[in-house]
Amino acid sequence: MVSRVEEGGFSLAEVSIALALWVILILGAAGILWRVMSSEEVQRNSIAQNLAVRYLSRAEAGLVVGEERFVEGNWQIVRKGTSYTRSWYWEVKVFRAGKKYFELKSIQYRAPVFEE
Amino acid sequence: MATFSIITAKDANSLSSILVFMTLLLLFIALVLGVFRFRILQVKQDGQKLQAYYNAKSGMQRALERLNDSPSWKGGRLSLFSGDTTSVWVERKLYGGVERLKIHSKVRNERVVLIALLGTAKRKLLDAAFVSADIRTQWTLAGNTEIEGTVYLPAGNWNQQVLPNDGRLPGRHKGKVRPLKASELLKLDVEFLQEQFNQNLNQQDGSTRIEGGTIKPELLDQNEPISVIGDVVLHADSTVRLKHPINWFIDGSITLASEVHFMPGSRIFCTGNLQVIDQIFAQDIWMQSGKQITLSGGLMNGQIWAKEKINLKGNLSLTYPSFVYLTGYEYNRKRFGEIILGNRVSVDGWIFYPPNPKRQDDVGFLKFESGAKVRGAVLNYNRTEGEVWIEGTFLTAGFSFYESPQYYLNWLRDVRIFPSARPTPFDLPLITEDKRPYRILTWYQE
Repeated sequence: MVSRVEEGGFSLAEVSIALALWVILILGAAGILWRVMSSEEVQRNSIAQNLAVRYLSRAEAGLVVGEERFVEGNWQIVRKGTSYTRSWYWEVKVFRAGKKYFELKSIQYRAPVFEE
Repeated sequence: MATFSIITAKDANSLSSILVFMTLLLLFIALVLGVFRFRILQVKQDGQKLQAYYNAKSGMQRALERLNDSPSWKGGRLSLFSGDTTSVWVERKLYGGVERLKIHSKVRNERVVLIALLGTAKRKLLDAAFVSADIRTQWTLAGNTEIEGTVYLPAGNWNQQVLPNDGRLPGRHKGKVRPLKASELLKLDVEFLQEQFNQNLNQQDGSTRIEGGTIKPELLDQNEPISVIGDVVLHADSTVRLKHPINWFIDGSITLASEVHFMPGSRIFCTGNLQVIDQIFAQDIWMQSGKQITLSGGLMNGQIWAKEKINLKGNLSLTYPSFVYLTGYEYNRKRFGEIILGNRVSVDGWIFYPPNPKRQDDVGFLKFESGAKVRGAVLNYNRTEGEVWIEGTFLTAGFSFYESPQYYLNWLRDVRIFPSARPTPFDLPLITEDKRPYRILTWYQE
């Protein structure tokens, strides 16, 4: 085959290499960013779930009523317990920097006493 | 100025190499991204599963409330929280001495199913340590008896006598003694249990029918009910772990000759004897025999129902809530039945041997071998014998032992009763006329 290259120009191979490097660079950067973000996001979701379970369990065990706010590190937990005539109701919301990460709700029935 | 290139063979090689390299690299990047996307999804699914679990738990509480309001409620959809559309689906089934609720909860694609077993609230009488089920009997303390707690005696006090020829202390009771009125006794609904017992014996609705003989337990490991015609021996060379909650209906006797681990919610009903030679492990199992049940060891909870005899022996532990129920049977105008608790047996729950419906001459009995223990309540409307050890309530119509040269009736000798050692909450199976208020005896995730 015949090749003719003018002075100052780039061959197709060179252009391809440059393009490929750019694509790699962009994808690599996006990948790393995504990795970091997602890894943190995974951790945050997991922490939020654990916090919600912990605060809900405590409320259920102690039949805690009223609204309370807690702070654990960068996390804010809002727990609301309500006592109705026939049941208790709790909800726990877990926030971080204003964003709600997780929410759990639970009811416990106030079983009547047997009257003899 | 624009440039032009004409590809040489060398360039083409470079280009193809680059393309291959890029493809591989893209695949690698896609893989990494895929893994992380999967992790994110997994954590989200965990969260949904957790919400489904808490919804199911809340559904269980809502169902309990609904049943206490309207006992004829057959189950169905239940809304959980005001202000949103969260709901669960509840199936209700009468299951021997309990109501069995199956609560289905779903959040997006995550499903959770909880099983709840409901009984009825403990009656006040069962706060007592000892209750005479016969309102005419005089009771005497004897031997090394130790009772802590209130006792209900017909006469309102103990008969003060010392066992002849016995150098030991004449028993000890710490607590109140109250007179017992007939109206204070539990209002039992024995027919309710007896009807179910009879129905189970006639139940031969297995979609699969097989002939008896010696069979490997795995062959009967199916979700669908199985009817077995004739006596069957289940034998395997090693431990058997069944994968399904089985439903076996045996028109004959069954012998389990190997160690078997059952899935929760399994049922074995047989018209003949049910004999377990090796250990068994089970949760929420229901065994019923038209004749005798013999269990020889293992760890389980559930309902053990038989007509003639229940023999619990070996290193057997029936955990809460276990319900041992003997109907008794009639022969020659007499009423027979036996429950025997071996010396290494513990029962956490209830032993129920109801009163004789026809008031015939009773010769049935419950026997505690030395070391056998019940934590919960013994409701025996017949005679008891042996070294009774109960962390809970002991109700019996009579107590007997032999010491040469005579039988002693209603002398409580070597009996230990400590109701305060019984864990709370403690409720009852559905043995009373009034089934309400319903209470959750136990629950588990399917």
